[in-house]
Amino acid sequence: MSRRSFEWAPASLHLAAHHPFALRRGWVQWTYVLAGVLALLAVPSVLPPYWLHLANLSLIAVIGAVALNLLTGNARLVSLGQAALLGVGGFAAGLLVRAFPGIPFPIVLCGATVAGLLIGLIVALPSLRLRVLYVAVTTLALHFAAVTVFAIIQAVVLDSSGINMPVAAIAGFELGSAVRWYFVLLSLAALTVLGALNLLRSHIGRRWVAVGEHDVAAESLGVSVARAKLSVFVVSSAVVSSAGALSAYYIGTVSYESYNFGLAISYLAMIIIGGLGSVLGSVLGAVLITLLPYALDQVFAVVGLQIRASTLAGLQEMLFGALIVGFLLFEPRGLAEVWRRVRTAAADWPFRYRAAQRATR
Amino acid sequence: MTLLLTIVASWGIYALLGMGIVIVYRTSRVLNIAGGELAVFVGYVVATSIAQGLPFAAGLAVGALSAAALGFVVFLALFRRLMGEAPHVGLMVTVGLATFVNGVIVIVFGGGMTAVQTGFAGFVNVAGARLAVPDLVAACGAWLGIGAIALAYRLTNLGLQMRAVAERVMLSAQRGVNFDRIVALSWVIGLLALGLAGSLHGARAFVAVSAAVIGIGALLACLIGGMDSLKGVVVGAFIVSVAETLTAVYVDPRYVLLVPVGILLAVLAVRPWGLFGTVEEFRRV
Repeated sequence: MSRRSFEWAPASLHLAAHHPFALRRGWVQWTYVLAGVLALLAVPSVLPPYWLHLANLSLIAVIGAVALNLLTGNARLVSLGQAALLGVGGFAAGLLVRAFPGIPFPIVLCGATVAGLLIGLIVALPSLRLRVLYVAVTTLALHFAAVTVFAIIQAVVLDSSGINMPVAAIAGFELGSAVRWYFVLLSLAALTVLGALNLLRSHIGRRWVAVGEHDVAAESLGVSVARAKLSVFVVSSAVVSSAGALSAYYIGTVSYESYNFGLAISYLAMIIIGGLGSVLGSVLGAVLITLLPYALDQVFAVVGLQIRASTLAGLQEMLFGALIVGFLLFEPRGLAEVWRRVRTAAADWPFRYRAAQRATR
Repeated sequence: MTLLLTIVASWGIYALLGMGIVIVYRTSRVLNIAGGELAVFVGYVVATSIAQGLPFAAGLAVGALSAAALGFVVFLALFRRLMGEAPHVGLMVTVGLATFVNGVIVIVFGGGMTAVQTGFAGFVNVAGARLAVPDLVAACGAWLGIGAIALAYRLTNLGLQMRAVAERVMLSAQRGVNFDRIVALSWVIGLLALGLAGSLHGARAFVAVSAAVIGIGALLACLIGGMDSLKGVVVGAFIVSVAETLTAVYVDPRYVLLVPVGILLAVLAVRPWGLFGTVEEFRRV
């Protein structure tokens, strides 16, 4: 029987030693950061419009996945309510737009964030008394309850097939094209990533990790478990909800059908495949999982296989499931760990390992 | 009377599903989110083999064989490697398993709506009430299954070993219980219960990808009753099925899930370990 201890990425070590985004003052790091920023800024001039659309979807997914990873990866409260929270953001934005036509986009975004914050607080309250498994099932139940509520809102209150969102505009700057969206989403995603990295380095994030590692030990060391759980739920839900509002604006409609359980699973797949507890992992996983269905489509188109849409959906589900299970069993730290290994191997080449660093790290 | 039969049938199916989840949880501490999907998969196997011309009993036998094999394979391939891991890992693996099984259902069986043809149909009049025969079959089958599992759990030697593992793993292993074999057996029995419930649900209502939502009701029943108690599951399933049936009949079938979720939250606020769960099971800070 394999009794392998399940190691999670200790957030602190990860950030200080090996993170490519770590804001260390060294010219090497600054060169990396500068090159990365330039590459990201140059993306719209290189990519064709369709690919730019996919890049935008990935950026929205990055925001949601980074926030989910704080909750599920760092504080280790497995949340299956991601789709419901995205829906909270989407419906909050949609209802605001419907109630006050002409309301500015940033205000709607703030409103959706506040809605997510409140819902997060409500979801967090029972979780204060519950442990991992119970939190998962409670969020699962809440997902189905929330989707029912969305359906009721849509059918009874709106008597329509959904809400059409207006074109977003920031102070007169209309986000009418994919290129404009790209820059807005890129800056918001960068803000989320940097915010998450800094939170994880601060006392707040360290408390989350401590509670995730061992709640009793954390409490006996003076960490208030209740406050840590509450704060991680609130922060994560608020950010996820704003991602939901962004995606509602970007896609242009809000409808309860799009917030199905498959969405929650695909976000869980993102952070598991990317690496639980790693911000870099959330980014990698979000991009990979967003592109995967389109890549699968392309592969079948190139090979020339004609398959039905339902079969394709089934294949995609099988692939998601196999990836989730496979990464959990064989690479529990996800793509972030693969990337770290590749980096280390490249840096140490032609040697197998670094002599100066002891293996005890 | 009709309402009563509906409640008894759905109670039995939820209790059977819940037993499938709890038996596995007690021995291996894996909370099986994939219960509904696995049940629907076996339901499809039964429905397809009956559609191929097998009689109902033979179809059930095929379903039982495939369920047992599936349980063994799932244990061997996934959860054997995960023994001793933190609980959330097992949970996420079952989420992946649920997605995978869903995909397999869509590809192998097409994912369309079908039903398990029991060979019994129509209605019988009992004391002036019109009772649907498939409901009667489902209720009888489910309660026979529950009785068989409960008796085996209480009376047989293997059931004793399973209870010992659930109580204390180390002590039971020291006293000669083959832990691996018992956990494998609990997966097999769990899958048998899930599969029977899925087939009976298929006989009563339908088999479809969307039928996997019965797993949610079963999970709610487990949590309300207490994750580590078979008695609790039966009580929890009663609460869930009564709440669902009454909501569907008197309010609106669309709101069916809201009421059990509300009950669950109320129960968790007062007794977080569930109505019949072990208190020590539930460590909290």
